[in-house]
Amino acid sequence: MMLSRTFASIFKVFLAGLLLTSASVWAAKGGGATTTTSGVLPGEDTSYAIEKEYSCLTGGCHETNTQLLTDHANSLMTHAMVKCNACHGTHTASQLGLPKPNLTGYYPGIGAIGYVVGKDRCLTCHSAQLLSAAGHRSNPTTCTGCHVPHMFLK
Amino acid sequence: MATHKHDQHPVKVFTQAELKELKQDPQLCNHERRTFLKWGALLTSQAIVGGGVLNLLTGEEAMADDTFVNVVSWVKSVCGYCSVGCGLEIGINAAGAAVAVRGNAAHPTNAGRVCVKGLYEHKILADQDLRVGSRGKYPMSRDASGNWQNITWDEATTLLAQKIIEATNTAGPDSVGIYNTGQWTIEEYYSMGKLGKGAIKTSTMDSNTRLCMAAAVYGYMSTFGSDGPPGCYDDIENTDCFFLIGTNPAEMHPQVWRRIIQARRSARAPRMIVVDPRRTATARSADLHLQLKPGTNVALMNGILQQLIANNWIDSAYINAHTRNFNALAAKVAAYTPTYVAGITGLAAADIQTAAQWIGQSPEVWSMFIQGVYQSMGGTDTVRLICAMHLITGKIGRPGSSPFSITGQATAMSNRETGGSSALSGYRNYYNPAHIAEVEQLWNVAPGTIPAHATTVITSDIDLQPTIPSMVDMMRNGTLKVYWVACTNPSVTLPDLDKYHDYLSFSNPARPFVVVQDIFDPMESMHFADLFLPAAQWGEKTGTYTCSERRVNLGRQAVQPVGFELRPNYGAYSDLEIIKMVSDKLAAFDFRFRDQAGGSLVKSADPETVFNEWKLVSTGKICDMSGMTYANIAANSGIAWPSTPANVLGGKRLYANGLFNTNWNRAQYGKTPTAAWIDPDGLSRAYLWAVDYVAPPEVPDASYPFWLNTGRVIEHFHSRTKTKRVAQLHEMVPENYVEISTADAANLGVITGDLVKVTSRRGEIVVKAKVTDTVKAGAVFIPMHFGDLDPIDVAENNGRKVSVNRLTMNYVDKDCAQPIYKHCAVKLAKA
Repeated sequence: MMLSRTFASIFKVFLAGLLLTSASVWAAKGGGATTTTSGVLPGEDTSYAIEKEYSCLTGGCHETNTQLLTDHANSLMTHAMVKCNACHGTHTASQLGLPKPNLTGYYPGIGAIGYVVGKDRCLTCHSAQLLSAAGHRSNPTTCTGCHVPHMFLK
Repeated sequence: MATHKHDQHPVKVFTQAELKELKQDPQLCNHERRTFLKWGALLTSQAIVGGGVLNLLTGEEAMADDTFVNVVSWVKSVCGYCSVGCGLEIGINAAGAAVAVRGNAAHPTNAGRVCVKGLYEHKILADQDLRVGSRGKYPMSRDASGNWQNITWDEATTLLAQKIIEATNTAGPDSVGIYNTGQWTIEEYYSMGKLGKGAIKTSTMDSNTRLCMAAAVYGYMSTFGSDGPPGCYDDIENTDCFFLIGTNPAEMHPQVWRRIIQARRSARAPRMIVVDPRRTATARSADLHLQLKPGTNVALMNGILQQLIANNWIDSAYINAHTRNFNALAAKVAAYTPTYVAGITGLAAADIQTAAQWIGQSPEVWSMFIQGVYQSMGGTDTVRLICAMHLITGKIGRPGSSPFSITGQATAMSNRETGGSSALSGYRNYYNPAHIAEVEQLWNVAPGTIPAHATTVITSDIDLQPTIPSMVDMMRNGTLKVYWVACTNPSVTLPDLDKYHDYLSFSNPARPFVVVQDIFDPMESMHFADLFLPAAQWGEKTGTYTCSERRVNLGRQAVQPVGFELRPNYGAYSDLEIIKMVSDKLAAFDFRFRDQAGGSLVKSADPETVFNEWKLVSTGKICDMSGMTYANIAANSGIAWPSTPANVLGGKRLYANGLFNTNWNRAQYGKTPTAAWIDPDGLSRAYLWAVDYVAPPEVPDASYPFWLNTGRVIEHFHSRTKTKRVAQLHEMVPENYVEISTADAANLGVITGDLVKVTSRRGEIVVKAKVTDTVKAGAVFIPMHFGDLDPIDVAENNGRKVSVNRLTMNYVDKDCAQPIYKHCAVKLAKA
């Protein structure tokens, strides 16, 4: 226990730097930029999916993240009822016994510092696009480098 | 606190000290109140490692659920949830465990996509992945004190066989009730049908498909002469107008919805009409949303038919050549003017006219329908009228035009085809002696073996409908002696649950001997069971699945059944193996349960061998699968029936030639050759029904002023037997709720999250409010998934009763006996 506390104290210092670094990296990648394009067309309504994501978007955790809400509301995947848990689902909530899980590793004003959705999650559904010669020009290590997270426009 | 092992990478992020801190201050999770310092303290021990999180205190790495890093091989299969039939690949690790699922990019149905249930489907297999409960591994019976005790498979099957023989001796074969599922394989249904009808000789066989799509079956049978959705998914890309009535594919059949979205974005830009009392995801994107009053589908369809005829948007040549009874239909619907129908449905007359115009003037029209039609008043009649709409416009049997029933379960279609419960094998007619004789010959049983009358359905209330007997009624009057429930959970899903539970209560001396055959321990129906048989499930067995477009897919075994190491005495066996065990035991004990060669009726527990036997039974019939083999099913990513050796892939669409199955020798249904839909001239014409709207048996009044509607959410499947065990699904919709309109919530003084008591004339539940304008004022909606008998649910709900079927009405469709879950009257009060 003592050892743990010692480690904890040491890493408090480490954490401060880590968080600041993460926030900077996130901002440098364009995090927080307002997106003006949309993945949905007029008449395509994503409000039901968002309303049904009450655990995440209307339940006290992510309402203030306007970037996330805007991108997600303009996503074709949202229109197709692909909700937060499809990509971000983890065991966190069941382990903590809490009603509002933090599944993303994203912290307001800081950015994503932990769990990042991996390429394999995208490939769960989209392997055809990547593997098809006509569908994709390359096989990059990440998808979100080009496809904006939560909206997935290229 | 459960720790979920994830192969070599335990999914554990926080230390026990951190967990303790979080438990003491749950608001840490609330961003509004969380401070940087609190999270700083929490996160001190963590550092980023790739896509996971390394706990520097414990050295454990938190692996994301999205990685394929541990997968060493992929097994091609098909999804075991809904009826769309998505091709999947199950990822297997070096230890032989399932650790991932991905879409099969080569499968034509879903082109690699999966919905959220399918995405986490591998997490229902092994105990370490389950959020709650465990897989059933031991057959169990009750001891003298009523507690469960493990018994061997030999003891379990002996007990069941003895109970069946005893019931047969004392009360006749119909006292043995078998109630199964829409989630087995073709091979399992076929074998169960053979055991039930050929060996036990009971007509008391039904399945949960009665609750699911009986109205489609009876609507098709009495219009086209036989069951079978005429169209296919490729119609989605070839239509000009979607008519989606009583269906919400965005939430219930997501891969169909994805294809609709893509089709709507094409240059063809088909219109979309949605008929639904709720503003669902599908409805919100419609060009025309007809938000009608519950229970008024028949009036709406008559109104559309009236407009089609009045405006001459019909195909007279097709009507004359391929249908009967048009004049009666035209006369019947003439009174259903837009104004009259608007008065019944609550719709604007102009919207009804617009819908009819789009249907009438679009070159191709594709209708899709499910529970909003089937589980509403006049379900069978509504299906008949949808079919009539396509027939009188000639929009059937060609690309882009079809009535298309979609089902809820992965293999409900297979049960219909093979006769696993209420039907006779191979789309044969229970009332046609020649059809019964064919099956008896194929099964090598004596003439007169198969009961020459139709099945006893699962549920009805003879106080409401005295002419419709059922298994539930037999429970009430004590004539049901054995009740074998397999792969379904009626203790959550039947209507008017309080009564059902009373009939099966251990305090009722007339209760039957209850057998529950399922995959999890515990689950709600076990609450009333005397004998439990643990079954293998999706991913643990091989077999064929017919999806909604009649495509037969091959589901492959990817892992060993749970408890395999405990065999032969214990461990889960496939339902096919269990059926064969019982068949063998019955044959060994009593000659009456043998075929004419003196053997067991169920000849094999090898799926491919059974499939080959079934093919012979289907040969030449409407659902002909004689052209299929496991090899060519796999090679083609599924094959639609009818499929013959001469035309293996010829089953894409039915009725392209305008010839239907209404001749007596071919018809699947009809008590006599004089049934209305049987073509007296043998010209294979479809029958057009002329029916009136009948108001629902219960409507809101001063005492119970709200309409109650029930339905589904995307994360959960049926009674959550599987999905409540998957944390990623449960966490999104962790408990039951009632949708209340903004106006009604204001009147009741209720906000989202408040507990609300919902009461009907049959029961009462207490669930949380969800204020939303998805429902209209005066209407509420409650998901159907939630039970309240499983101890984990009792704990998580603090003992509250939450199951909506404590409220629903046991009133069934006059033709098909499907319960009308979609509307009854309730009252609300803040709890």
